[in-house]
Amino acid sequence: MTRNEYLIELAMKLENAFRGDENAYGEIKGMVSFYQEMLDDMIEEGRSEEEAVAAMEPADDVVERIRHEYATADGRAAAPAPEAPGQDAGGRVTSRSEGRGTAVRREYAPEEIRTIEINDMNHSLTVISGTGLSLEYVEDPAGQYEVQKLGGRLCLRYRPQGRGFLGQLFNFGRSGRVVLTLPEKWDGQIEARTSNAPITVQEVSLRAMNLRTSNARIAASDVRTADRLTLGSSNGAVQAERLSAGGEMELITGNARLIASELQAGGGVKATTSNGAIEARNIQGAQVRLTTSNARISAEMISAGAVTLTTSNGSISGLMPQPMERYAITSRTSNGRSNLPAASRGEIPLDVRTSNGSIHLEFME
Amino acid sequence: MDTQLKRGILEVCVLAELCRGQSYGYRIQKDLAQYVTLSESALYHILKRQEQAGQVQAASVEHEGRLRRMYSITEKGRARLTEFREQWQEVGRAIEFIEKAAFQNDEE
Repeated sequence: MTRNEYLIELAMKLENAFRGDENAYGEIKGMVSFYQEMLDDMIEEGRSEEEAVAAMEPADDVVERIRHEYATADGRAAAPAPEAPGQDAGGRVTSRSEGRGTAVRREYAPEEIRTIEINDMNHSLTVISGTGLSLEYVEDPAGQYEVQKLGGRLCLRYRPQGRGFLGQLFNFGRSGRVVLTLPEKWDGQIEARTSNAPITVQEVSLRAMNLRTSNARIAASDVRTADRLTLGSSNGAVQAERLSAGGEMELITGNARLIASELQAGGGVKATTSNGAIEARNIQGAQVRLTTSNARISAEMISAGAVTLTTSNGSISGLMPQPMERYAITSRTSNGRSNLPAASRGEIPLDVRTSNGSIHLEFME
Repeated sequence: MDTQLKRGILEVCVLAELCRGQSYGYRIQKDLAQYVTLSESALYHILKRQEQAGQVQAASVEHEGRLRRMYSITEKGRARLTEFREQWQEVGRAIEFIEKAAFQNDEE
């Protein structure tokens, strides 16, 4: 019998033994991974697959012990309710089964947490406001979450399962999400990263925030930070409305459009994408820089000490809040009409550049 | 050996082994092999119970491109060992008495 045959037989017999039990999947995952590790250690030591498997307990014996350990009144095996992993994870924990996984919710006293760090993969992230501070995530056989609370720092890290054996066998796909709930005004900061899944952040007020994903969209609304605010993705649209930052605000993506309205940043606003349109309306900041390529920029009511609009192969249009004379204009395009002078004098630098596209900016009187 | 007694002893053996330093499933089983027989499932359940009881802490560590679960003993685990030792010292004294009272009389 090969290593994989043994593990598959074990997993199937375990699943059979736990049939009907919703807590079981975490348990099965733990067991199969324990046996997988044993086998791999024996093989690493020099034994052949056949020898290693022969040295292991037969799958039936393993199941027999399960029945013995977890015997219930009707004789079926029932896994113990999953306990919260990580003794130093702190917080009040509740869990419930969800689909084929377990949703874990950890609640904390908001004053106790100053920094939240999330390092996830393939799961969406939602940051919203509510009563108190809580972190919710879904455990499933595809991987494991580690939670650590050290002083005022709360860290959530996702580790995918070793060789993805269980991921292949049970095929859980990309469900699962992380939900971070913050109290109305939280004096802390968030550094969060995920991938291949969207980020949504709504109605929160905090010190600073840096949220990153890839290959998925970011939607942010009604967010206020005392310091910086960064939202970054790639290959996914960024939609931002009513964001306010005391420090710098940066919205980044690529190969997708960026739509922003009612943004305000003491430290300036920078919105960057490529191959996707930028639509910006009512943006306020020390300086505002909108950059894309191969697409158009629409910029309406950009109030700043300095404005830079850059693209290529696309038109630039919009409405500026001050009369044209107030701006020191630098404007460049090729193969396109422009209603702006190539250069002009004023106090507010306005740099507008594209190629193969027209430039048409209107100005308020 | 009586099952309950045996289980208690096996659990403490695992704790004692972890006093030597953090270890992983296969190595714990191997190192204990000359003293006790520990099947994979027995070891799995022992470690699981100990983790739940806070006597053992586990962490996944990368090793040769795969994840390996490393176990280490905690303060609670060490306290359990001390408690076990005290309990067995009492048993030891009881055995001494039994030996003297019940068996040495025969030889006299």
